[in-house]
Amino acid sequence: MEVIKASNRKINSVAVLGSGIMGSRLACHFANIGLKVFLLDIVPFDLTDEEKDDPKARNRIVNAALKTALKSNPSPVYSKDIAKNITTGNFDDDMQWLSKVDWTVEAVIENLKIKKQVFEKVEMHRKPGTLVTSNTSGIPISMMLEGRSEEFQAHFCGSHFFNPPRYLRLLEIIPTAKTDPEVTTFLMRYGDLFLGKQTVLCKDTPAFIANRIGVFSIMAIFHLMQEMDLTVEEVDAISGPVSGRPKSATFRTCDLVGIDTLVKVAQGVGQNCPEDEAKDLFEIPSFVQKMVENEWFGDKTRQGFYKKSKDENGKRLIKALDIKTFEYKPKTSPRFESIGAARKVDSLPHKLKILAKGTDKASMFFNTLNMRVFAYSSNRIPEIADHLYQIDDAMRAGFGWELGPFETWDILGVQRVVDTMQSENIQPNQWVIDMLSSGASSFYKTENGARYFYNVNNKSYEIIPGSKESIALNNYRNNDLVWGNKGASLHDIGDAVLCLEFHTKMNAIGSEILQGINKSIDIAEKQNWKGVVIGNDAQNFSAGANLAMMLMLAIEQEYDELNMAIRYFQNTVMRLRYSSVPVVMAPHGLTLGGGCEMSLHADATLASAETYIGLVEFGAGLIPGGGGTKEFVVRTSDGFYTGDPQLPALQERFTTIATAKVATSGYEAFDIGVLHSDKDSVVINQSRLIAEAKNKVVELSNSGYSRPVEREDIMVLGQTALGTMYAGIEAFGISGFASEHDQKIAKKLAFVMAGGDLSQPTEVSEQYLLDLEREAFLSLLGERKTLERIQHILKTGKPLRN
Amino acid sequence: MKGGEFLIKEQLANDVFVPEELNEEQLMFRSMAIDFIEAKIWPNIAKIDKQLENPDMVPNLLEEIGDLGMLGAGVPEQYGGMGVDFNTETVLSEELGKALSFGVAVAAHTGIGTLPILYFGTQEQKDKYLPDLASGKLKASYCLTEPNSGSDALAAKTKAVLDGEHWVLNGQKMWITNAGFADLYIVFAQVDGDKFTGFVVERDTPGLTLGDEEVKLGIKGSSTRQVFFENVRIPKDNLLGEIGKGHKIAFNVLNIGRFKLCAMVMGGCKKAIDIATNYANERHQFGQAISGFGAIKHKLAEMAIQTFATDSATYRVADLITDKIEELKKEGLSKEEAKLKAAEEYSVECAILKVLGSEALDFVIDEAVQIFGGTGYSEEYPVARMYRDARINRIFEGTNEINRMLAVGQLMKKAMKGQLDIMTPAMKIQEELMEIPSFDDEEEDGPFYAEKNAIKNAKKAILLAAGAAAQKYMMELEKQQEILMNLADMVIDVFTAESAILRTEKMINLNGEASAELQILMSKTYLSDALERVHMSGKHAICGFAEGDELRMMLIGVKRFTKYEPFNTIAARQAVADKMIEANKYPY
Repeated sequence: MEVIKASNRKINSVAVLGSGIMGSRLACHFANIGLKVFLLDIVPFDLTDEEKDDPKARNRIVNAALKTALKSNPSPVYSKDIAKNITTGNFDDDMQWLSKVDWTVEAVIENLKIKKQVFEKVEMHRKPGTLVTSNTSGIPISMMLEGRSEEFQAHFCGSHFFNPPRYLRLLEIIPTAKTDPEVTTFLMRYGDLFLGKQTVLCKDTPAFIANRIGVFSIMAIFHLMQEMDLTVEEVDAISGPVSGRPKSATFRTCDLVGIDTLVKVAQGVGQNCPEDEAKDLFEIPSFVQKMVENEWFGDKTRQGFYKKSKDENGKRLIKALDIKTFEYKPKTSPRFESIGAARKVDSLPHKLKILAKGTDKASMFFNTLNMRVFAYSSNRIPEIADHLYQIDDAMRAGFGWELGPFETWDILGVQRVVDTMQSENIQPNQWVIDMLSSGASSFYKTENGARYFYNVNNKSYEIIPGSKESIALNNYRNNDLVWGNKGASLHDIGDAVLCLEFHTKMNAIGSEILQGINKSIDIAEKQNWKGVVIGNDAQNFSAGANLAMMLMLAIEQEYDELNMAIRYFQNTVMRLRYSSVPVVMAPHGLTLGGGCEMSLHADATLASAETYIGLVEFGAGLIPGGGGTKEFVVRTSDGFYTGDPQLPALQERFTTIATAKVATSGYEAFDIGVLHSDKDSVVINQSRLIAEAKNKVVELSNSGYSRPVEREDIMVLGQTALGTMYAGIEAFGISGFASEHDQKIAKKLAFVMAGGDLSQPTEVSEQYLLDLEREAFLSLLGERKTLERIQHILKTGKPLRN
Repeated sequence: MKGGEFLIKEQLANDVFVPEELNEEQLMFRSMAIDFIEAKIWPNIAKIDKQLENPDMVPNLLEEIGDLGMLGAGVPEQYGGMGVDFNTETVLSEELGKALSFGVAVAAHTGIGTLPILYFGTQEQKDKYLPDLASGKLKASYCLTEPNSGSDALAAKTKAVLDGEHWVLNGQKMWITNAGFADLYIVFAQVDGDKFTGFVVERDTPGLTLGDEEVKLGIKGSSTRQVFFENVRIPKDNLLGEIGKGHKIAFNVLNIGRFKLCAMVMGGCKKAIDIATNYANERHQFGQAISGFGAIKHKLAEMAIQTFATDSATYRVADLITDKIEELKKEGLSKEEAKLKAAEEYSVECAILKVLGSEALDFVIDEAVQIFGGTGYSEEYPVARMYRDARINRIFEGTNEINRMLAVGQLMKKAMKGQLDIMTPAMKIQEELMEIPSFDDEEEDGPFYAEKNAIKNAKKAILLAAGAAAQKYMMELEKQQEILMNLADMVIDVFTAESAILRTEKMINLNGEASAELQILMSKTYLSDALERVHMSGKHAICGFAEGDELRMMLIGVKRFTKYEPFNTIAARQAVADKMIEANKYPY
């Protein structure tokens, strides 16, 4: 039997079997990346006789499931029309489709017998050589092999996605002894490059890596909170963002996942791992048991550790469970000195060190929990993973931990923690002791931007596979900066490319960042660098311009200063475009307002698939004033062809700004005209974003980059468009869709986009448009209602309609 | 109102004490002091300064004023004093401030000379010394400073070693006021190398010798010498307070010392203004009294305005201390303990006053010399001497730089200890900066609505700058002396302007607006200028540590918080000067 080489395998179509929560969303994500997808589920058991021949009725289950998935929030699809690539069918009529697919993913109910039946059918229809994987989270993969052909077994393994698969970045790949290594290699790479996942190679052990450690951690918390007499709210205060865990901390996460599900996984581990040194901890504590009996499963039963209710005034009130009295009491906000101190500092390592050093209950909890999780994780090598980084990768990508156990341990000091562990009679695995006594004092180290891990097998540091292909700015922290100020740092990311990283609050763009951009281009031009990447590893690329400062300046009526500030912004985006080195923008997450305007001007923009980008200034009572409006006019003008009606194109662009449209993915950004197919593209795996942007800089530079020529040929329509646009705006006002202030802003926007009230279509320069744009922007800052909108956004994060 | 709380709280006008409220007894003490100084000091002012020729003059005058009971005013009756209240002491200090060198001798004797025994002495020490100190029979002197330890007092090198029933002192003290004629020296020395400790040393103890009189820039009538200790054996019982607790004596008496210094220099201001106004009225040029010229009016008015503001701040603090003394006495503390504790509670305010008063006096006397013109430079007229004598006040009782750092440092310490909640209002300020102010005309409420609002805002400017500086430097802030100076200047200006406004408001409440017409003009003028200074100090501080957008936003904040309606200070000063010219003296 010959198995296709990993590098030669292609995937064009996929079948997903089972349209439950995971199956349906998985189908969506396969469609997201451009595959032809078949989604199949069972025929309903309760069909009436006449329905039995009705294909619609026979596909009722799968269609309903897909519909629910498509409506769910956050959306499983990059853009709505992606769903058209998904064909639905059922197990009885449509299994022959499997002969057309390259990969079949099983995501049916967690029942070995049923799964085996499904695989039997799969084997009947699939084309030899194609992949089959199971998305089980608990059943040993090897048990599914029984009765399957050798060829099937060679192409079969576990592929464990986490819900929701578009957003959760972990994909565990679990080969069996029979899986061909080429298949494993392929899936590890495909998951990374094409599906945008953090792939982690797992062993076929109960709950694999992430759930094993994650559920251990939760169970350890359950027990520890009783030992220490802590409340649900107190535990969540400690185990939330302040200690590098998700916002939903411990118990909100439990409620989201479902306490019954959690208990099942914990019991599964407990039963299947009789050798586990911590199996006592997998015993379900009585209060959790009682919750299960009460069917207080969390969100799906509307009560778990928390319960939403209303107070006597009908105001929303969140109650928390008192695990001793089993009563729900209004949620409190616990205060701990150590947490208060940790919250005051910015960086997570600094926060963790403060927490570890504290002496209050929160610190004791933090330290004890860490020690237990550290010891447990150390004992899982090589049982569940050969390498420690695999555990860290899995925890970050699957459980939303900002740092995995070994990374956290490194920050707190391996030796220091081991000393405390030993005094508390918690034993780390011998390999940790051996590592320390060999003189290796940390699990990881960074050298020249590459990350190395301590290989437990051969007791030496090795480079993390793929570490060189993706660029993590964190790995450059120890290197000297090329340049930096309080809001931005310029890194040398190798191959003569610079990367400008923002690090202000929410990456809001203010003078420091603007200075950073100008400076990095200056440096690149003068010191012979190939070009500049503007990108960062923060949660969001940029929330936009520093509105707070504009508001303050506007309140003080410092219009000269404002004028200068806006001009500085405009000059900076123009510098992005008109420099003699290529500048590539790498947006991801929120990329709003000013952040979006920068992307519009870059030589190329490589957006993460998860980019939420748009010109949102309207919501703040403004129009894009940093070249965004100008750039939309330029793009409209460039789209004009002789003889075409020009106004509709302009109006479409106008509407995009006037409705503050935000793309919900990198792909949708093309649809709303923010990304441009000539120069921009999408990168699915965000951890590769900066590396890809760097490659783009090198490519642009090597193919001969020269400074573009400034534009003076932008066709604007003047009065011919203005009248129609004004009339449209007023019509909106009359029909109640636009407030008076909306209309005022819209008219200013229309004026700029029409190029002013020129008597006839005219060719104008970019600077002409920028001046119009700035003037409109400034005049809006003199409007009280605009200031109110800005203030509201700053206070609540939401736009105000006034 | 706790110490330092003025920064975050508004004091009500009716809760402040104004000098206009001094009672008959207090005024009687005042006139007694005036009479003595006018009769005994001013006619001899030149002679007093020539102390080498007239070495007995000051000690004799001290005994004379002692006979009137004024050296024992603050000493309890049981020790032969008069046990007057704190306001009376303040009045006396104010008048003594007009006695130049002699005032310094009195202050050194009654303050740092007598108080350590009163506050920290054993019963035996009190019984033994206080009655004679109160009468002036014994004259006291305070020996802290050494050639190499001035502001850094705790670094003193003088040693004390216990030898059986005696302490043996060795060392050298410098700049010791009253050293030449003192009978009793309060001496600070290190026990076991680093236990800073107080002692009482009598003049005739063998081994105690004096250096020559220092030749000084001013206060030439005050005896200032070095004091040498060479195996000076004093009885074991002459230990003052506890071993190693000398800093408590040294620093605590300084709080009261600083307060009284302010009262004194304020008296000096008034004296200088009287002299300068009189001269300006008499001196004719271009066919008219020079007091008729705007430039001179400006000077006279500004001299009076700064004095008025200092006066207001002084009595405001005097009253705070008085109330605290009463409160502590009710809690069971002795009067002495209460006074000490009360002054400690208001250590920030005392430091503020020290800087404020000494700098006001230097300004006032400098302008007085200027008004005198060429004659001001001549020894024939009193202003030259006053000019010289004024300068020391910015140096002793802790230099003004030390006091500035102390004022801010203490505020920060109180905040850290949780005694003063600066954080909550500081957080609110951040929010407030994002508030859109109403562009409509505000409803005015009360005669000083705008002024009180301006004060409230100016405090926010301080919190904004201080809060950000504290956040940036954390514990390192105390090393950022330039920033501390700026912050201190802001605090001093705001505290003083508020005091002037509160005093004026109380005057209006007491006697109606018409009676306080000039006080209104003076306090508004002071406020208007103070806000400009607060803005500038804030700007300097913020530019020193912030950058980029944060810098800009804070600058906007400070600017917004130091706004005040345009005020015609020229007309206001003219009106004030006219009143002074008419009265021929400091008018309030």
